[in-house]
Amino acid sequence: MSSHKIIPYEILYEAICTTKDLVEGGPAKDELLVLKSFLKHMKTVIKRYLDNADSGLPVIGHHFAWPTEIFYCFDFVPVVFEGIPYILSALLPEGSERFYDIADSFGHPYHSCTSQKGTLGMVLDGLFEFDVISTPTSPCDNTFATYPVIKQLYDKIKKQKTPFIIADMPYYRDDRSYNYYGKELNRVVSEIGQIIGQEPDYEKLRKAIDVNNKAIEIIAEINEFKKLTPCPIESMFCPLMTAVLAFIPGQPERIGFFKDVLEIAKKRANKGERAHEGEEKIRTVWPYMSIFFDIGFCEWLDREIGATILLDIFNYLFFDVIDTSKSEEHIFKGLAKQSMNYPMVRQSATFCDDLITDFIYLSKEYKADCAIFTAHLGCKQSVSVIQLLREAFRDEIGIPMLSIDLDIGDARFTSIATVKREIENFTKIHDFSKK
Amino acid sequence: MSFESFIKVNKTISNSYVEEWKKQGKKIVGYYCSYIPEEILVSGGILPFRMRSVEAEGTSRADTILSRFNCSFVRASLDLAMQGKYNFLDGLVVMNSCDHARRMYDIWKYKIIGKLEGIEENFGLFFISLPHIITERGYNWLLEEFTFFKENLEKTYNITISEENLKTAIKTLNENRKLLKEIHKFRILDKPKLNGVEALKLNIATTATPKEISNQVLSSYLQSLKDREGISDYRARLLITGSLIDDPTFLKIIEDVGGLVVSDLLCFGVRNFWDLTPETGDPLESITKRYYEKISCPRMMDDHDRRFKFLQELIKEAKVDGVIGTRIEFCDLNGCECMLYEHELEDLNIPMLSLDRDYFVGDKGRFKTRFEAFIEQIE
Ligand code: SF4
Ligand code: SF4
Repeated sequence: MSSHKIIPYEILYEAICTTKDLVEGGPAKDELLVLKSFLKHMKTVIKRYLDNADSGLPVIGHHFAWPTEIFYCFDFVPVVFEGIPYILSALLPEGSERFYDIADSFGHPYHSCTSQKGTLGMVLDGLFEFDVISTPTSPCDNTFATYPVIKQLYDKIKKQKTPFIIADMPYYRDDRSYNYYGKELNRVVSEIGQIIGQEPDYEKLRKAIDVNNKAIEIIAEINEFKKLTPCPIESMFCPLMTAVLAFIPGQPERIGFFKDVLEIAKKRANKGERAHEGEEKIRTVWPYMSIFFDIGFCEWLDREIGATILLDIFNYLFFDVIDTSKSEEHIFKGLAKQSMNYPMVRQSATFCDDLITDFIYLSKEYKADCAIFTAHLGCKQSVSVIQLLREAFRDEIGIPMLSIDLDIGDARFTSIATVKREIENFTKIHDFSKK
Repeated sequence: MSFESFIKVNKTISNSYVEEWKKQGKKIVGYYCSYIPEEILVSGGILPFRMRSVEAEGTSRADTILSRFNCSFVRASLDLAMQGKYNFLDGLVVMNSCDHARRMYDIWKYKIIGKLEGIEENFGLFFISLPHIITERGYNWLLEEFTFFKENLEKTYNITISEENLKTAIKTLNENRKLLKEIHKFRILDKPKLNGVEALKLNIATTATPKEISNQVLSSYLQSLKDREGISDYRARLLITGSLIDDPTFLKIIEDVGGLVVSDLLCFGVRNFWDLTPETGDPLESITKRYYEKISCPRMMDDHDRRFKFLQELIKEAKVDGVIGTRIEFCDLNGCECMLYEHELEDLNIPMLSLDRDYFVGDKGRFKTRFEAFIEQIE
């Protein structure tokens, strides 16, 4: 297995195989089922990417906030910048810290988001070969600031001018903005087509969207099961779903993973079980991201605290499926609408109203006892509204919110021990057993 | 309307011109960013007032709302608002400039307007969505945004903004920029006639006073410059760029140790006055063109090369010996831009000092040592 074009995916593939062996060789057959499914599907997909890169398909380095399906007009290899450092921070014992340090020592501000900092470090380490780098102007300053840096430094290292394709995303969420962004997406497709010398194949695009449509429907079903008490799905599903959305767009393994989870949920729900022994003591919503740098953290929450993560920012999709029988214009507008309401984009790249109303609604729907906000060092737009959110939780539904300053991809900023201590103290202060 | 009272404006948030304006029953609208089309406000008889944080002594009030990961300039400006220092405003216009400043729209909406004494429910709150790249579609979008902004102002304040008003405002603002640009020419002479502190004070004053008054003061100041003795006792000619600077204290530390700040690429500086608005054609289209195409800041994602080229021109024109890049903690935009400049200038053998700092110039000694060392290195 070797693709010199995307070495971080080789590292990832090795990490997936090792973790898979460890998990499958573990003690209980019916434990960590969601993780096992995740690893199985990710292994297949990452291997495909590596093979495709080896066979000479163009590599598109891209932002997670794209509707990545648009690239499925082409034969290509997707490399999702924000995904790599975080999945490696979960799967590698030493995390992605080496790459953060490379970027930092080059002068990248320590407070810029590690999701891109890690990829910048990998670029500076010469681990990638891109044919195109592309991003929307969303969701945050880190994107506006770090992507040009990645592009400049990549060019300097490679002594070339790499095509840098950007689609502009407006600040509002209305029809005028969806039309504008839909046209931007269409432009991006034709520009990339010209660069890589391929005619856009809209039938392939439709197929990729159909796959995602199916996944959207299954996710909605899974979420219905999460409303049950106890919740039949382990907390770890939340960060794993984030990774699936980022790494597996428009491919059958996306459906495969969510189908597996649905089956697991159904079986447990029929027996009124949760994923683990013991009582579900606290139902939590995480209005921001889960923690990536410690893969065992969710298990600790489930087993030691009896706390379930019902949803984080990446687990609820506030958009509809796209009717692929309609015109290309309709499809691009649909993709625009989806991606402008994609997890994190919806909550970060516009006014804060949706973030607040969504989570108040979800907390009621899912009978949450409390909220836990991961105040990620990189996300200045989100930490700005923590207090507004806290007050809304308190005033509208009477539940408390804990906020923890940390870096979700770097164990050194706030250690997992500190995170756990804060959660333990929070649960003691609020005594959710009396709920 | 003396020069003394004009130059003093930099020291405080409100000032005598603001008070006089209010006495006349006229409106004042605050704004956070140099992409806000001042012409549209001026043409409605409104005083545009650039938000600053200069009187803040801390951020304890704002810290009950914002996070420690937020830029201290924005936190300080919110703190001032919470103290009532911005009660003279009738409105605030925010745009998607940076992640900290753009959240001021949400915070003012939920925590300030109608909640704090002096900022009542009828306070005008406006937002402009500016594209992050420069394209024809983006231009058309911004033109619509500016049109909506104009209409919103008309509705909110019950005013009419005519084409004639807009044309007059364009002329007034261009006059202001031309004067600042003329003054800039005296700054880049071999023996500059003004230092960086003075230039910054002037630039700040123009963002907090009526433009007509500002034009009168600047033009007589310009005359007076001609007879001035030039400055020759400096050790190094410097250009400053990076995060926002609205307090001359920082520049004073540099100039006290022998540096002379002969140029800048700052929002309270060159970036604000360099480009003029075309005086022909449809006025709203001209205004849009000016703001969309002006020398950009790092929030414009596809424009780094043009900015770097412009920076090189400024360096050349002002015979700059070294560049100082200041990065306010948590400012990702300028943090990354300064990092790029540092590497790019290194390739051109132009020394650059990149400095991380807080908005508040706390430990002057630390900065003094850094500047002295940098100047020595250049000498
Ligand atoms: S830094 Fe940029 S976005 Fe901010 S005020 Fe200046 S021009 Fe505007
Ligand atoms: S200094 Fe940076 S973070 Fe602060 S307001 Fe200006 S652009 Fe935003």
